[in-house]
Amino acid sequence: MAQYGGWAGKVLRVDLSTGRITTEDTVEKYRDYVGGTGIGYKVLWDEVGPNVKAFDPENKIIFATGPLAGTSAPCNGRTAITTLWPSCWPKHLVASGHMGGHFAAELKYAGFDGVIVEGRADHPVWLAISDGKAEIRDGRHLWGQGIRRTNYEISREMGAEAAVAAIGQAGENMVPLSVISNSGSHTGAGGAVLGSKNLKAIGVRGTGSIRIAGDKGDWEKAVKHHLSILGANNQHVVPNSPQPWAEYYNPGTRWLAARGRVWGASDPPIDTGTGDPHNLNRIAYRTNSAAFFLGPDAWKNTVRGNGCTACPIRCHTRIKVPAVASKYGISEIGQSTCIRLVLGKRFFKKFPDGPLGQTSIEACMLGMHFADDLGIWDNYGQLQRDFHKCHNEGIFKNKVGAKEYQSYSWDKLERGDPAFLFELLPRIANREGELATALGLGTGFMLERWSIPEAEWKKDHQLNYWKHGHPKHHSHEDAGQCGVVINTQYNRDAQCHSHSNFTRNGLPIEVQKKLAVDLWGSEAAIDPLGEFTPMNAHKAKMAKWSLLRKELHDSIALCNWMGPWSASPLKERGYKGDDSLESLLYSLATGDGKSREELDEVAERIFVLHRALTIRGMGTRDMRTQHDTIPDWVFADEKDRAPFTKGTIRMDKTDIGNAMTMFYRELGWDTATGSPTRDTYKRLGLPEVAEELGKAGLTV
Amino acid sequence: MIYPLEVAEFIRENSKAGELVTAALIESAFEEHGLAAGNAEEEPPSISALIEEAFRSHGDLKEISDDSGIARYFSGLFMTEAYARVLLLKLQGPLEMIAEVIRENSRAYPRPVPLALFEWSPFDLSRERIEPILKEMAESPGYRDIALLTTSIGNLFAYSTDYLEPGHAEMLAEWIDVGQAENP
Amino acid sequence: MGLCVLGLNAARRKAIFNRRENLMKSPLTTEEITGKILGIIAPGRPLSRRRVLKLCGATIAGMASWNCLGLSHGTGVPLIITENALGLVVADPTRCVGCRRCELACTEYNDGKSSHALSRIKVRRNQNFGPSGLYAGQRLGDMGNGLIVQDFCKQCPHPVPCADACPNGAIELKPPTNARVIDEEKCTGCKVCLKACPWEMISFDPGKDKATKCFLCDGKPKCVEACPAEALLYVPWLDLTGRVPPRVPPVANRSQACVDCHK
Repeated sequence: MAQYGGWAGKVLRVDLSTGRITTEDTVEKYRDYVGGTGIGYKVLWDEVGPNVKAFDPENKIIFATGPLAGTSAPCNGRTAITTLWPSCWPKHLVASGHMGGHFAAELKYAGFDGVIVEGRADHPVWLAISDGKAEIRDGRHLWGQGIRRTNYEISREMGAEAAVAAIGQAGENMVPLSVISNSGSHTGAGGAVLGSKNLKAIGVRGTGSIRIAGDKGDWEKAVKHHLSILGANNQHVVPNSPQPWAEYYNPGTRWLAARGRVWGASDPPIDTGTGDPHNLNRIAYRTNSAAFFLGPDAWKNTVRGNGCTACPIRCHTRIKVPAVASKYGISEIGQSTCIRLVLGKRFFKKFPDGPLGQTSIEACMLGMHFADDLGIWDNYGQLQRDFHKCHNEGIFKNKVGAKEYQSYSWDKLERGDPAFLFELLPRIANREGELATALGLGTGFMLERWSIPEAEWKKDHQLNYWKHGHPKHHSHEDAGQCGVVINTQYNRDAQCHSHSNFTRNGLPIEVQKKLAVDLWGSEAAIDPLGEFTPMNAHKAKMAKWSLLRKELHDSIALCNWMGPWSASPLKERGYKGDDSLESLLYSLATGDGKSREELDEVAERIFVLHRALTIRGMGTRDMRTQHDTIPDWVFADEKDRAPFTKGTIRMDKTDIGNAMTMFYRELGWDTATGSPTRDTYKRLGLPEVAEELGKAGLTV
Repeated sequence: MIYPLEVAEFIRENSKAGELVTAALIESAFEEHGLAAGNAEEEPPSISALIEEAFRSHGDLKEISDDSGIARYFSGLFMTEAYARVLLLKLQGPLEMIAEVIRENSRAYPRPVPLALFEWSPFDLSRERIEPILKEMAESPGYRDIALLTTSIGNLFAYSTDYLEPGHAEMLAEWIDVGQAENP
Repeated sequence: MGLCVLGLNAARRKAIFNRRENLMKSPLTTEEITGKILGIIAPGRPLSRRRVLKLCGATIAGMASWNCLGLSHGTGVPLIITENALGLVVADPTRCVGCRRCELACTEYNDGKSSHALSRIKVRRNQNFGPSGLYAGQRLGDMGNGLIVQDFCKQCPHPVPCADACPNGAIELKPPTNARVIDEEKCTGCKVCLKACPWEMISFDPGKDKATKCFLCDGKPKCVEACPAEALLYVPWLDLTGRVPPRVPPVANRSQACVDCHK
């Protein structure tokens, strides 16, 4: 290990059934899988059989960071949480959650790259990890407490600097839609698996260091280079409104900084300024998730940006809304990003003061208050869409007893009174009543419980439902066929942003097309939005690249909500990013020199191992028809416009068939079944995987 | 005494702040602070000569002008031509500015623009002013191509029918306004 | 730059060129920053001259406590630094976004390793609950009101508590910044300086078994360069020792060395 930097060096293994705590050498055992999901998939492949269910003590949950976590490489605050997924329907297959915050860095400073949790404790416990030592402690006093209180109590035991990843009541009650959360608002799904193991939290405290293997001057240069090509959140590289330094502007981007846009609740207020990308001391002012998601009125509520260790982007915007303290008795401070920022308001159809008014902001504050304390996951917005569908179509009324149904103040919901959330969210976390219990199961198990065919959900475009109990995540609305292919691959919502970060980066299409030539061999890899053209080989290359970079990021600990850095805000670079950035940072940090191509191959190994786990878990090699399915609404248009006509994102069935074939071919998979071939497993250094699947008749 | 370097710096500082500079502005700025007077015994050079000299020795300085023929200066180090063009449009009054920005967006990207865009720098129109301007535009023959649409959350977008079909514009506006945030 | 050479009156130049600059950015003056820090740490307690003096007094008293710790036997004579530092890193908590890029820049670019414990600017310890930790009524930090206070070395004027405390005279003034710097050759890793700093700003590198402290990166502080929110500034030195309350209670004791000079 001594020769390598980057990694902390050890992976911790905790058996809650026996209380046994051991460590493994990270490099010796997991170097070929780097970290993060790579370690997670490897452990599940080696140690968890295909018939295990999510809540069995035999299931394992692996928290793993990567070699870049805890360094100054921008956007590294990631922890992957890999396990058998409790909301994956009809069978719990492999999936991972992705948590930011300060947990990853603290774990590394404590000497560990990951924590493998196995077994089940016979009473509630929590795990204390401090500078190379780990201890299972009694957690009975924490059971039943929210995440905030748990964080506070554990900090009192471990010290104010501890990073605490905890579950709330939702996780304790094994509600499949539940999260693990650290540093206030940084969540990853999988809370119910911790609950099933009686593990309330993991507290981490580390005062150690991570060695940078390369020359420190080279490292400093590499990091500054990375900073120089950063955009705003999601690597949007064009400002949202015209700026003196900018050639372009795009009202759709998350680069919100501008003169006159002010962090209004900072004391004194701070103007975000013009945001010249050459000024690396003002990167943190570019992004304001609150103003982006809640509307311009949220500028006055903005206290500051917040976020993960070492990330200059600060996408978890902190807001202050004093009215909610007096109205609802909750904290006036909230912070979050993306879907969790708007979790609360999405339960409502309308608000008295419009979709972006004060009431909607208050609903969001309540949503954050409950979801981040009770530990609820909203399944990337599917929870609310399911809720609307069931309410609008009378499904709740039919499936839920009259007394229970009437116990909800539906009038509050109808008139857009955020107080409705007091009735709904705690009941979901506590599995109170039929309605809340069913919703908390996730779409697939909810439909099964209520005998509703999944096909009904797959027809409805408004629902965005894809398969396996989960919705789409950046599909054809972002990147045509490439997005569709990506959405077929996972056992939860796809969580891949490599493609959408590029298509949404804000550059005009002609500039994007120039960049596409370098990245995927041709301008034809991308289309303007709503002007799609038929499938081609370059789109297949883009899909492969997107998926491999996602797995790479989830393993070396870079944020796939920011990377890959395929474009930059710099005119003098022709807006080029740097597609070799990951290999540069990985090689310098670890000392394990790997080119872009070599590192992409590692990523492919990790991605294919995920595929193998899915094949083994499903017990079929026919992934093409059994797993990689596409919902009907992808091939429909509300105005019945034909595919490839302007203004529609409708896809063509035959063309998507071609897309799947070309994608499988690009990866060296069998095109008839969508299974990796034996040669592909071997090429990627996975001969034992080929052998085991072969014995079960699961290879081609 | 004023030197070309000071003229260049003056232009640069204004560019950083997002402003174009005219010869008259340079002259008044220096006069205001009594700097043009310099040494009473020396004849101060003319502003135009100074600007000429500044352009010769500072390659980042650029000139842009509109129909009025008045030259306006900026530094390419701190301001792009695209931004300078927007500033020029602004000088032509809100109707022309809004229409041209809408047309350019519809042509280049193509995309409709949210009217809220005009509330921010450098357009700086108040919410209350924008709607009457559009009403006026609807009644003027020169702006027949400018069309409005409302997204599902009630925000107004505009586009030019010369470059965008209504169905396409609707879809793009919905994506910018609702779709991206709904699919984060 | 060139403009000064050309003989333009600086104030006039500023008036012309900076008219609009204020719109773009208005970093707080150091005085304001000081006020801010104090306002945060002692909310609602305006700083009276008397309190300043009291703090100064207390600080001086606590600075050279090595004698009372029974450590005066070292080399016998502490190194007395009388010259002031020339530069100082100051921090604005209202701008801090809690990313700790400053801490990482400090240790990675100087020491080749990532570590907040080793960093000579300290944010992590205040990040969750503020400088008073979990034991204060009003909590700061991410889990409190959100303000993150960055702790930085004050480059103390005479008497320099860490230098005075060092039994080996290993803490010296170093040009060009006159920062108080630990000479690794002389440092024996005894940690006395860690106890002497009223602001707990001395770090310890367990790998080298040496103490380490802010040396202003010889005039180009990495932390300032690394901040993505302009929350850190490198400014001409000013005396903040009496203005930022200590983190640890000072011990009222005066070293023999002080008495020798201050009879």
